[in-house]
Amino acid sequence: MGICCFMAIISPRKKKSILVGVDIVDHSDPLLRMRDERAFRLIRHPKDLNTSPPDDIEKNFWLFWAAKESVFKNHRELKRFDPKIIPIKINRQQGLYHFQSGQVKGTITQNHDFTFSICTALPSLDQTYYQYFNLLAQDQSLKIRELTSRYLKDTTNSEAKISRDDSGLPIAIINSRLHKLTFTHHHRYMGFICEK
Amino acid sequence: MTREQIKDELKEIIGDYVQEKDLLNSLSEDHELINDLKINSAHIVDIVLDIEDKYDIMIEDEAIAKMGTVGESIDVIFEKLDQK
Repeated sequence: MGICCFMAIISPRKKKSILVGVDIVDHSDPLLRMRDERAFRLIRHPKDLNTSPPDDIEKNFWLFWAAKESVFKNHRELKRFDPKIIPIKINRQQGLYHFQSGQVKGTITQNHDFTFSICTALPSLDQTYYQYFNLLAQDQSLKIRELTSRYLKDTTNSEAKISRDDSGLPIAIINSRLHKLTFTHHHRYMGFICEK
Repeated sequence: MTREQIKDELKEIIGDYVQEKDLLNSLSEDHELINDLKINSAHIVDIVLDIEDKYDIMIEDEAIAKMGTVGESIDVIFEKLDQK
């Protein structure tokens, strides 16, 4: 009886699967080599398109990289990331990069310091919580979980904790309901996106 | 060049990108670069470029999908060196 009740509370909802993806790249990472055409060839899909590419090929590379990685995470599959099989179409509106890959849509924020991509198969990103943080921690993976838990708790005014699903992928438990989420961290930056 | 030699040289290359250096002490061919060695995915491209420079080879564009583990990376290097 106890187990049945427990399952009823935390089992994933049966409605259409809602997915979210995120990626962040810290441009200040000293280990990053220049992203030129030689690097671009390793991630390009034949249908990749940016209608308003930045003049700097490196910035364009990071737009595609972050978009592809966030789309990969969005699919929430336990397989290897292969940027070449993920087509991305990017366009720029009102200073923000928007992109699409199949049913998945997202936005990319890019400045001198970082590139931050979020995406979802939901109709709107308004149906997600997302945030990035600038913090260098000893264990970035642990720190982003702490920060996310605190952010969700403050934002929803509810108990929020981070756990894992049966596949070992991260989930947020907010008021005893499961919410899919993904994390990202790179050098001084980290971030998350979570379905509402 | 032996497989073990390439493994040692590859260890030097990827060592720069492994934060937890202890993981390198028991490096095996089965280790996945991202999941096991905890290399940030953004650095996979850097590793491919480093390998190309080190061995003066051009790796196929599909390298990222083919070089998920230490052993697979050694395979790709071996294949390219054979073709030189």
